[in-house]
Formats: sequence, structure tokens, C-alpha cells
Amino acid sequence: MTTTLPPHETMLLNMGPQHPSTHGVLRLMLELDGEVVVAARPDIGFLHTGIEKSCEYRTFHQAITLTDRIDYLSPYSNNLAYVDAVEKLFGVTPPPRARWLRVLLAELHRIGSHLVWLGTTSIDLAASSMLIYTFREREEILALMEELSGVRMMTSFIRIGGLPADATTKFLEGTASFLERLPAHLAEYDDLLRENPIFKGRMVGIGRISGDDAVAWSMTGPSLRASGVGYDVRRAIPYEIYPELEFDVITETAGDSYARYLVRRREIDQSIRICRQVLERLPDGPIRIDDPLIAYPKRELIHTSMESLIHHYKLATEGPIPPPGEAYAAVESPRGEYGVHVVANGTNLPQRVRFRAPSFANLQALPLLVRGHMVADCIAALASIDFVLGEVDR
Amino acid sequence: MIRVADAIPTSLVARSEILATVTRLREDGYTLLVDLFAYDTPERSDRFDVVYLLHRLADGARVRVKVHAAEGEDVPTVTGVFPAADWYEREVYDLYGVAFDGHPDLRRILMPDDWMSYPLRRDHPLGGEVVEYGLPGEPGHRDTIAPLEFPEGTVRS
Repeated sequence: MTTTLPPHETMLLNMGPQHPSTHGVLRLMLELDGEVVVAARPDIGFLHTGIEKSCEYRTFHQAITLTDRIDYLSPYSNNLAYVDAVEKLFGVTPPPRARWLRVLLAELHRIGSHLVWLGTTSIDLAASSMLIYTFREREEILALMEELSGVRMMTSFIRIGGLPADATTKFLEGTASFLERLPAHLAEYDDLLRENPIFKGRMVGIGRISGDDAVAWSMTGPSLRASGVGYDVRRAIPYEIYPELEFDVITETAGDSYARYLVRRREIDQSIRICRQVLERLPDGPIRIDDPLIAYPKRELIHTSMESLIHHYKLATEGPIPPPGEAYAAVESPRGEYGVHVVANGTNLPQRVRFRAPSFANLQALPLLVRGHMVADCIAALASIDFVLGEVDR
Repeated sequence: MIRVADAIPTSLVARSEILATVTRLREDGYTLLVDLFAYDTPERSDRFDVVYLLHRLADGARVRVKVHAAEGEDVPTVTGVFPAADWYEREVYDLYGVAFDGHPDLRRILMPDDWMSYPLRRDHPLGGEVVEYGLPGEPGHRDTIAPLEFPEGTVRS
């Protein structure tokens, strides 16, 4: 038996939360006229784990490990923004070597995150071999992280006032050699995708958003820059040592899914450029500030000096205590402006840790992107804004 | 007011003036609403701080505006000026119970629709929630049992 709908009667289609192309647990309610999306309503919260609440029950040091779990594809951006905010509360600046190494790690994670995006988006568009290739390269980044910190993904390789340990020669050499090999692989990806008629047919003109709309909906990161607005936290409100580095803020003007692909693809090149500059110009020196009330003492001192042992014990149990106040720090994560606002009330636990997650705002603009498109194009638009549900729901 | 450690100019305005303030700032070029969130200081009678962080794309200038609200007091919505405030205000409402007057669709956003408490309030304990399973109307579903109670010994700082 066939059912015919009267003209202009719409139907409601429920996509997700368990749908492979929603990149996590996102539920999308689509109002359809035939196969055309009339309206879309994202429903979030399925991955809400209360990380902001949990942070209020951890010392300022302990909370670092929780921040990794927010944007799990680029954990270092989260670490960096949180620690920057706490360092602002203390009014301390880490030594130069630590600041350069932090940028190196953040950019390596950016490359890794963009590679995952490229692979998963291609799989949504039925180019299933891409995922194997991009994960092959990302695996090298994870192996480098393991060499550096002992952990592949959630490294937490940062401390208030610096880094937990210096980078090993093996890590630095491995990074240099990885950066040598990566451009050739990127050229292979370009051969596969950039002028591929199927890929372009699925991406060009899909999910278009104007620069003004993107700003009004607080979009940031590659999704905003693909609409012609050259806003990059690394340049607009510089942090760490970005003012000393040479790199371009990539923008495109089309504002569609293909423009967002181009921005991310070219940002990988810029990240390689930044990493190479860091490796060339990495200064020598300490990797943590020398303040026993804030930063852990050197490992060898703990075994020889009683004061250092006491300081280490106090920091590990009670934690550092910043003066009361509030501070906001922002970094450019692979998805946009990732900000952390910390409120301290004079105790060893934060009163409030607020994570400004770029995906939360970017996802909110999704209904504008998919309106008027076919359901299948909805998938491409969805993938092109590169959201991480762990960060949307926190 | 609490010490601001990050060099962003911060001002406190009355609840009734927030809409006029952000409208004026938007006309002044602060077109990007970076963040809108709240925090709770239960020791104060007007316990909630609602914080608006705005960014001017032309020169990278930032400004922070704050509003204080007591329990049960509404804050005027800014969704008419910044569409992006929609989800942010829903999140504040969801986690703190601060309602936004004039918001087009003020529902819970992260917590389940039938949740009974505001989890990010400072006096809300961590953990200890009774987890029940069941369909609406069946025994075990939350709408058929008493409001959440938190047992003794719940984790507190």
C-alpha cells in the first residue's frame, strides 16, 4: 500500500543519537518536505559528564587531567587554555623553553585533529580509504606523544608554571623526521580529494553560511574563516609565543563545506611551518618556574633536599592556592576559540571552571547550514563543521 | 568586586540595563559574543553572576559585562541582539536555574528534561543521584517518585 502525502505537508525525521554520521551522540530532528530539509533542530546533552562540576572538587593541578577529556581529539588545546588561565590568576609566566614546547605540542595536536576530521568526513562521503591513510599519519603523532609523555592521547603534558619534563632528543628528532615525511602524504590526499568530482559534488555549495551570519552565531575557527572572516585567536589575542612565529591565517570566501575543507587542509601546512620554526629556534633553559608554592620542584631535588620534598608533598596533596580572582584565557583549538574562565575564591579548589567550547557555538548554527538541502547533503554539512560532542556537552 | 586577573575591561551593570548595554556595545563594533555563562557565590544574596564576553573583530578588543541575580530573579534575554545567546542562556538556565525573560525557547539543554535540580549550583552535591530506569508512567521513572534526595555522606569539598 502506498501513502501519498498532501503537498507541503512536512514529516519529522529523527536522526541519531546513535547514527554513524553524527560523529558521536548528537540527535538531529529534521523537518522534511519530501527529501528537502525545511528545518533542523539539534538536541544535545547525551554526553554531558559534568566536567565543569567535577573540576570544582579537584585541586588546580588535578583538574588538568579532566580538561583532556573535553575535546578528546585535541586534548592539548584544552590543557593549554586551562593552565594559561590559572597562570594568569597566579600572575606567573613559564620559562621560554616551556612556552615554545607548548606551542609545538598544540600544533602537533592540531595536525592530528585535522587529519581525523579529514578521514571521518571522507568516510561520510563514501571515500572510505581516506580514514586508513589519515589515521596512519595520526598514529605517528600519537607515537611521538607516547615517547614524550608515556601516554598516547590524554597526555596532560603540562603543569602550572611550565611542563612536567623536558622533551627528549628522541621526541624532537622524531618530530623533525615526521614533519619531513608528512607533506608527501598530504600531497597524496590532495590527489585523492581536492579535484575529485564526487568529493566536490558533495561539498561545493553545501552548507553555505555568510560571514555576518557566522559571527552572529558566534562561530569561530576554520568554520568562521571559511566564510571570509580572518579571526584567529593566535593572531587576534596572541598567547604563548605566537607573536614571534611566522604563519598565515587561512581564509576562504565561499563559506561552504568545500571552503571549510580547504581551510583545514591548508592549516595543516601552516602548522607544519610553525612546528619547524619551533624546532629550529627552541631555546635552552628550565622548563618550569622556580616557585615552590606553585610549581613542582625538580625530581632530583626531591631526593636530596628536605624542603623540596615538603613542597612536593604540599603541592601533591593540598595543591597550589591562587589569590582570589577570576581570569579568562583563550587558545585557538582546531575547532575555534577554546576559552577557559577560572574563578578562585582563595581556597585550594576552584570556585568555577568554565569551558567555552567552540563546537557548542558552531553546532548551534547548524540549522542555518542545512536548511533547503537534501538529507544526504545534511551529512556533508554536519561533518564540515567538525564538532566534538565531548566538547559540546562537557 | 572580585579581582580580574586577565586585563579584560569588566563592568557590572544592573539587570534591567543589560539589554541596552550589549546593544550599545554591538553598535560599537563588539559583534562576536564569545561567551555567556554564570557562576554561583551562595554567600552573597544576589548569588549568581551572569557573565557576557564580547569581542571586536576590527582590533581584537574585548569587554566583559556582568549582571548579578538573586534566586528567582530573571535576567532579560539578549537573543534579540546576539542569536548565539540562545543555547548559552539555555545552558545557564539548565545548570543554575537563572531564567531569561523573553527567551524564545527556554528549556533544559544538557540535563534530561525531567531533571529536578540545578547541578552547577555550589550547594548541589557531587554524585549521589538516585539513578532510576523506566518508561514514563511506569514504576521507577522519575516522575512517579519523590524529588531527588541526596544521601548523607555525599561528597563535598
